[in-house]
Amino acid sequence: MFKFLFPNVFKKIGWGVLLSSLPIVIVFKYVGFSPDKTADIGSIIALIGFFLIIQSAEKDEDERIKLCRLKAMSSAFLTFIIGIFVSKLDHLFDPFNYIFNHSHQGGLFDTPMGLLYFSALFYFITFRYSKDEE
Amino acid sequence: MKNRIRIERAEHNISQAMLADKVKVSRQTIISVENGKYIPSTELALRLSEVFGKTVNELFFLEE
Repeated sequence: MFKFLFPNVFKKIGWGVLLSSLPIVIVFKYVGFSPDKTADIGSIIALIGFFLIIQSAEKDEDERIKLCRLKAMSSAFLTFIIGIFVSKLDHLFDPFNYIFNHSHQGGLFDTPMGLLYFSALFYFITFRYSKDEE
Repeated sequence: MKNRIRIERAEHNISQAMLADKVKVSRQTIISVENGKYIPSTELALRLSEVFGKTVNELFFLEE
């Protein structure tokens, strides 16, 4: 899976794309797109950003970094699975959905975009922690 | 698992950066291996043994 990696610069581009999905969603919402379409567009942008982050090489790419990437991937996947589980517990985490949909239906983990944000966050934390561990 | 990388490096008067360069990994990886935080792959262990002129068994060994 990690045989092909984008150059290191794509990591920064990936974070840019991932973080830009939030303002894009806000703009789209106020332009008049339907909430479903807005959430889908935001999710696709966040997904592209997350993919670029995961598939970009580090400056000092070696076998230990590959292991760190695997650990981070498993952590992100676990976050995703827990997120799906938590999303079933409605109304516990609803500020994110309330902001974008003005609704108390579902919650922070109920939107694919929220899940992706949390998975990316856990990926980043695990990767940093594993990489800096001496 | 313990290793003698730090000792061998001192005996051969090689810095971490130089060793990292020779075995084609980052200095961070050498630090992690020396501290026992990262167990290297067979390939890296063989490259390290080649640099120090020792067998892998002499460089890496299990704790008693």
